[in-house]
Amino acid sequence: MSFVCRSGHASDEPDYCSVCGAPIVGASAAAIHVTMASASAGGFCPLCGEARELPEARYCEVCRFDFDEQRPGPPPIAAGARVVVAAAPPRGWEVVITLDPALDTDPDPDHPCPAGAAPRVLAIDRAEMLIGRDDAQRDIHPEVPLFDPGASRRHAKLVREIDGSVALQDLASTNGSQINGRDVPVGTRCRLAPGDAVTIGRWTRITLRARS
Amino acid sequence: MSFKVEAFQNRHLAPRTTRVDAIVSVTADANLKATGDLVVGFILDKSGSMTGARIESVAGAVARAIALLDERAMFFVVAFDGSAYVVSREERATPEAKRHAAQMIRKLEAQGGTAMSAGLRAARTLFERTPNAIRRAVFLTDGKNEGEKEQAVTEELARCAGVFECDCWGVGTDWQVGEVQQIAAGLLGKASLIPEPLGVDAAFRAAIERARSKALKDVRLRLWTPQGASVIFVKQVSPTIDVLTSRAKVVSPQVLEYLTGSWAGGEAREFHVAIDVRPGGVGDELLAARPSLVYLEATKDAPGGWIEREEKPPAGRVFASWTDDATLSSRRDGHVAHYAGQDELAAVIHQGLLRREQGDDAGATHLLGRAVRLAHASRNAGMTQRLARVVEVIDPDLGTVRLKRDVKKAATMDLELESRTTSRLQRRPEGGS
Repeated sequence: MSFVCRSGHASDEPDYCSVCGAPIVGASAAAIHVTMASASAGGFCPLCGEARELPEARYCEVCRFDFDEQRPGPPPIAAGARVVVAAAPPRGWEVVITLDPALDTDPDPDHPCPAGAAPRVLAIDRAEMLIGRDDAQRDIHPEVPLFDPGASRRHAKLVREIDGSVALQDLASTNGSQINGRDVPVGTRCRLAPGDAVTIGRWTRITLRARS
Repeated sequence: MSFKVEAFQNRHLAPRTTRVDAIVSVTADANLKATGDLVVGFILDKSGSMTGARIESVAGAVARAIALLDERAMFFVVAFDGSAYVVSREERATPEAKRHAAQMIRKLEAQGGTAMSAGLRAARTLFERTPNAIRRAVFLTDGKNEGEKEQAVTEELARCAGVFECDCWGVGTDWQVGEVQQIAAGLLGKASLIPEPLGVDAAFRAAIERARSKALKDVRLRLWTPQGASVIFVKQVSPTIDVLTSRAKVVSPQVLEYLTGSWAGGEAREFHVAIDVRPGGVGDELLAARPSLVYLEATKDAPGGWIEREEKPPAGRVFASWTDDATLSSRRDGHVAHYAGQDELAAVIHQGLLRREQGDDAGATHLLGRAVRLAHASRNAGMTQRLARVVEVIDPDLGTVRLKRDVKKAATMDLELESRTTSRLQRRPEGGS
């Protein structure tokens, strides 16, 4: 498999270009474009060249370019700021995030699994939601923030497919993701069924269910 | 995975700076078992000065050391004076072979000169017959190299490099630290001092145990760097300082490889890598180096008994990212700073001892005082102790010392030999990626 970096080099490595060392952001997206040639429905960002993964995705994954308005996108939402959703989304999907010490097969006494944390429920209210570790310094604020040292900052994303179903895509995370205990191939959208459990990092389980 | 690799660095660079420093820490899996073929060779000085207690204790020590080998291993013994003799050629370590070798060693008569290159050459010839084994030698001398040009050793070492690894010992104090250190360094080993002949036993035992523990062969640190970047230096900094830069083998235009020899399960080493990258703009991020480990692992299925593997753990990656925030870019990573300090410590000890020998007491006091302060501040207890045998420490925090008068020669030789042994920085928990 070959990947393409921002300067257009063909890279043997999925994370950083094996020619120039530049990060291959959205590695999976670039990879899909290489292997599936002209399958890109959404085209590319005119500002940074990143693939627009979904035709209806409004902002570029990398530089926040606004595809609808054709201009650079809004500044990042500051950490801690409240996001006000204007209208409640129609009935749809939500995920339940639980911390399960039983998943931690090789416990590290310095980083124990936080005990007794209540499950968090997050509605899937956007076309794409990033799953990962929040990092204010790098300005990475995932919509599904995880508190797990084994998760990458940009670990995976949840994607609402056109038919209304939800898929998981691993963004070349360091430690990988699993669905119902099986490893997920990097960069491939894997459709989730209600009740499917995604496990990430040391102890995080994300379960999909329909909103009541 | 056989190796855990972790990089420690401050990835933030100020605009227009291009140098990236990182400590790459490599640890072999503790559960690795040594199952491959092993050959241990003894290279023994039998020159005239070895007469009496020395040659006797060496003969006894070799016999007891080979007794520790099991039949996975082979061994041989060569002795040298002005030329070399094969005392016992390479044989599997069966009870008969051990008995036979022990008898032959006892017949050695100490006489003649000292031509170290002859001993090395004989050992190399024997080692070359067993290319598919971990090959480790034990070199012992008690005198100066005589009757041959210095170049003879340098040339022979170049031929031996990559064929076998060698730990070296000097008995007594009539030998040259530089000569023996050159052999050890060229063959990925360590040079040490044995003050009294009785100590040979323990030294050889330790050497055999070390050889027996080696599980992986021809371990190489491989370093990918981006186009336009160059490697400033690569140094092993722990457990000892060893500059690897000039030993680089070019794998491809962007990939260099540094031979580190054989590794035992649980063995840990650290490397200081300095890279000069192309300048980037504020906000740019770059992979500055991707270290990987290439090694031969013992297996029954491959021809020769070894299979080559490469591991590229992502935690070993070294980055550069440019920022105009000076609080980020001016911070120095703790590991990098620690080993820069250990490097300086080795240098000031070397210079200090040199000045002392030249009779420049003021210069020696200043430099060795600085060494005491550095050793004390970095909690290098072994070095502090060794320094205290050569100087009287008045205040370790300020580095105030007084040169001792009646210093045993063994103490200064030992200090010089061990000056490149570093202390490790205490680990703090890491966040992970």
